Amino acid sequence: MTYILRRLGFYLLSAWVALTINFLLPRLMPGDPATALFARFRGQLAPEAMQALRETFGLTQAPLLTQYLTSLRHVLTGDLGISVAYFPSPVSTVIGTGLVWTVLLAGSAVAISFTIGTLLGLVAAWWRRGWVDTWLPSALVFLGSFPYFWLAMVALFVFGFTLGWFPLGHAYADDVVPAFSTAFVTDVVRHAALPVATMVLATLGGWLLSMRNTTIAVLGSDYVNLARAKGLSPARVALRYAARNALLPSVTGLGMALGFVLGGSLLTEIVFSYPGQGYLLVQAVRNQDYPLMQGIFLVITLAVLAANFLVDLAYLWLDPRIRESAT
Amino acid sequence: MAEPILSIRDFSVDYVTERGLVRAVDGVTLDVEPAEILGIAGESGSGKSTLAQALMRILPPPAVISGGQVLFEGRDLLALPEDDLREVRWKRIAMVFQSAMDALNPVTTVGEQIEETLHAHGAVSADAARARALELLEMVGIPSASIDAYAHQLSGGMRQRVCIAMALALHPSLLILDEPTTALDVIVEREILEQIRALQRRLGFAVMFITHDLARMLQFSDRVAIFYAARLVELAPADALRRAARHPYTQGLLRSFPSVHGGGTELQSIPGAPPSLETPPAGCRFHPRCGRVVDRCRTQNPAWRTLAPSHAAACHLAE
Repeated sequence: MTYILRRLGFYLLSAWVALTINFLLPRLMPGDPATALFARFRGQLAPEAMQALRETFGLTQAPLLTQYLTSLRHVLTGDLGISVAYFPSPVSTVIGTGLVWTVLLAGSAVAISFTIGTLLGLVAAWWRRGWVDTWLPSALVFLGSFPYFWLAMVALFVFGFTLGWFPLGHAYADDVVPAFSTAFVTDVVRHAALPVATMVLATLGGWLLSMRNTTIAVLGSDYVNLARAKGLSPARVALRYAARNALLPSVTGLGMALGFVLGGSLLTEIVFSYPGQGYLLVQAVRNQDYPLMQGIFLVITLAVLAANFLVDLAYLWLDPRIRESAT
Repeated sequence: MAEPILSIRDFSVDYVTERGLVRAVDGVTLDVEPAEILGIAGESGSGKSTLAQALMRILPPPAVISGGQVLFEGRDLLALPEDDLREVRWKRIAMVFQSAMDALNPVTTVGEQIEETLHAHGAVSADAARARALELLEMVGIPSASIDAYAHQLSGGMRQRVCIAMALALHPSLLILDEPTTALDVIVEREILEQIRALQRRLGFAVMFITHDLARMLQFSDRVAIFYAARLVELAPADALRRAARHPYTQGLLRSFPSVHGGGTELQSIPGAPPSLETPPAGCRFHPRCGRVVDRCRTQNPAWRTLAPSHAAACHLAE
């Protein structure tokens, strides 16, 4: 219990540091969102509106500390300000729509890649020098070493454009009504298939190699040898002994990967014009949309912290040695 | 003498390396009698642990068994299909590993690890398995509360006792102890060995006790086999060996540790170091370090000679 509280305390502290940096960074940069927005309307706004805009964005003449406290209060109440690029939608709404698609896209990519990669890694280590072990790691590392956007663009060109098997972009077709219907779900899956597949292909090799290498180390340990000597079935030795212990480092990796889900699918979303977080971030940068950028950074930070906290909890469940020091 | 329970005949094990095969166990012939404690001594790298693991065919690659026969209770273990072999493992031959620190699965409780052994070798109810696990732990003096402990919560000595309890779970007829006390301090070591001996007298299993500690071995074993550079060089009852070792290597070993009874002889170590198994010396492998070397030793491999009933050595000079 104290362990959980201690970890939670650490994450809250990290979140606060992130919030503070998030507040300071845009204020250290030249230009401000109000001026940017004013410029976007090319003289259609009255000069008096400038002051109103500044106040909307929290850029008052008040001392920095007051601004900081106000900004903290706003974040805590979920008020992330007004988006410039999607004016006048509030940032929280804009991020909300993008978040769903990113979680769907990158979340399923990480889940699929982790599951398949870990299983293949176990297979490669168990039947060492078998064909999985001989061919797959090098093939996947070869694929993974291409620049990701290039891989994605080739996939889009071949399977989307030339062969026409998959749609060229967006999360769902214009003629499908977003509803919890079979037609809509199938359409979403069809749109997500190609981007998810490219992300899985690019990351599979890493999961495979990490699981393979730790499994090989675990297979050489005395307790695995003892399990064999005990006459346990090979399946039990492979799963309860080898996999169960070799999984621990991969779970750490999974936590980090989950944390980067929200920021990391940026390239995918650009190539496949997928309306997720990464796509929004690009829009925000293009339009000097500071509130949106800050909002996205905040969400990414919180996601990384939350994912790490989940990994801590998972470790507590998976590894009795940590459970021990936790109580 | 009764029929031996384990007969090893001309048994060899090789390691496949980039520079070719390295023979780690070279043509070993050895019997284990029922209910005896056979000590196997030798320096690190002399092939004694490899021998033990190879008998159960649990040596991981790159080691390969390259010849010989291992008859255990009438069955050739080397020819047995893997599924039948799994039956023999633990039910008939059990093993306690060298490192008490690393021999238990860190993520399951010791109770589960004993129970799964019982489940793997026959239909037992969960309650019966747990009751048996408790009984086994009690037998080696571990409090019943520790049945739900994880390995890291136990001391090294406790862990090794758990391993012993686990090894005896299915009433094996042969228990292989592969340097069971190397990682433990001297007092715990003595307690554990005494416990094993008491259990061995009560339950009547045979023990193959592997160690590099010859003094310990002479106290503990009925018969002793001495290994040098992958080969068996002398085999004799423990007291015969203590009184009249015939192989110069064994004699050297005996001179290199103090007698328990406080004999006045000066301690001497054997000069030189054991040879590399990649390029073993020709003839007798001990000849570069032997004080009594003659020409024959450099070229001819000494034959195995029986010198007295149940005392044999591989030395040209032993008569």
